[in-house]
Amino acid sequence: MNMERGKEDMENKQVSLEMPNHIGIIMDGNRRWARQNGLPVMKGHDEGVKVLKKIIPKCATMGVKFLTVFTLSTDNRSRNKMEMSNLITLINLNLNAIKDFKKENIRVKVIGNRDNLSDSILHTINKVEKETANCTGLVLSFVFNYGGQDEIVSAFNSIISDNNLNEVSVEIFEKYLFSGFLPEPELIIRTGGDKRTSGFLLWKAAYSELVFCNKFWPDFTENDLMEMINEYHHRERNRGQ
Amino acid sequence: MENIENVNIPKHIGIIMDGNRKWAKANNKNIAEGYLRGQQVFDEVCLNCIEIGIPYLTTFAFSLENLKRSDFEIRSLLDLLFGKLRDEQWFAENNIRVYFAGAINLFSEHEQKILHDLSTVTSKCNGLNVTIALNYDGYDEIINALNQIIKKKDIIKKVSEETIDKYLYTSHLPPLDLIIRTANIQRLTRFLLWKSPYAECIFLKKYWPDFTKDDFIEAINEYGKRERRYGK
Repeated sequence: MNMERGKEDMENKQVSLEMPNHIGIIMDGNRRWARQNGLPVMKGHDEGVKVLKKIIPKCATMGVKFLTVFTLSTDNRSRNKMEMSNLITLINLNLNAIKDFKKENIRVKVIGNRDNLSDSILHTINKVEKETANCTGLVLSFVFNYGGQDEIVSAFNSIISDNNLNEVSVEIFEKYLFSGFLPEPELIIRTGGDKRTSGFLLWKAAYSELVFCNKFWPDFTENDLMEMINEYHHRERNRGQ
Repeated sequence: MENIENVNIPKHIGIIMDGNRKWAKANNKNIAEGYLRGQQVFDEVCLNCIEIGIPYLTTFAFSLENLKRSDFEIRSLLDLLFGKLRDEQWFAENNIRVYFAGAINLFSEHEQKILHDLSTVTSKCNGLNVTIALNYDGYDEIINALNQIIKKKDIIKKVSEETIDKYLYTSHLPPLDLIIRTANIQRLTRFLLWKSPYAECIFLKKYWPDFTKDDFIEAINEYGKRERRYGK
């Protein structure tokens, strides 16, 4: 049945198909890519950033409104300390490219726990969010220092410390999530071959179509993105009704 | 038949049993027959778990979303389900302990009693822990936990992951290691939302009534080959 639909889609040349409004990407495989190519780990992360810099404008021109990328999870903190500090520096540098974001009309947000972050990172985050706040193009969210359960725990704690809240609905609860401002992603892409979500946007991604790609993130191309979107279009959206 | 190849057996498997209706349609059968066949496959999978030594199996039997289906269809599904759940002997004889997870209070008192009785009768069974997600929704589970905690906010000033876990419908369960979903649907649909972050996903094209022991063993072998790094 899905195959037939796929064929129909192809025949219609995707003219009538809607772009996902919100795409989430778990950019996995930088380290494994580096190892496989006999390169230092940081080179893998460098290449990963280069790929992201191609994917961002591609999403924007295709009409995607929200792009959310998974850069680092709280679990990543158990990785080698030197590598971690390098990665944070890299993200820092990347976020400092404020001029470019403004030029491209990209609004940048950072999603995750800010409790344990250093002052310099907090400063960078606040600066880029503030300076791009009026951009009206793509909303690019970096999921940073984030864990899916941690996001829910933090929301719980904000809510129970508010004495005015005695009964909470889904709508109110969502306002307290780090990702509360985002719509639900229609499509989640994970590169690197693993078939799990690792808690990425745990709450918001509950109904997302999951598409897994075997390539390591540094090998991911704009064409691969198009293929993932095609796959999304072919999937039947049967929501238990 | 295939054999279990690895020693890395999942401790907790979740199954989203999709495709009973589509199977019926594809085979020119009525919907009730699709559900009946689906239930027989569920029985077989329970026995397979015991044989392989998997301690926890959780299945998505009926979601809050399902309530949106037609009355006739809901009735035909629930009649079958409750028919099965009345069969206490089957569960007890196979040493299966049964739990329920979800908004059970939405059922009639009579139905709630059936669920309660089955849990009680099987409470000493230790061959397999089966949790049946009924009227379950992952958002509802967490909001329900939150509202219980809010009522106790004089005592509970701050929560941790462990605190939240205690207030869930699924508090008795370890994290999910493996999620199997049939009928070519590749979403998690809030199934055991809190327990699922590091679950390996296996999506199969087959409709649930066509799912076999070989498929099950293949899924477990596939799980055994995967590298789980937990972010490390």
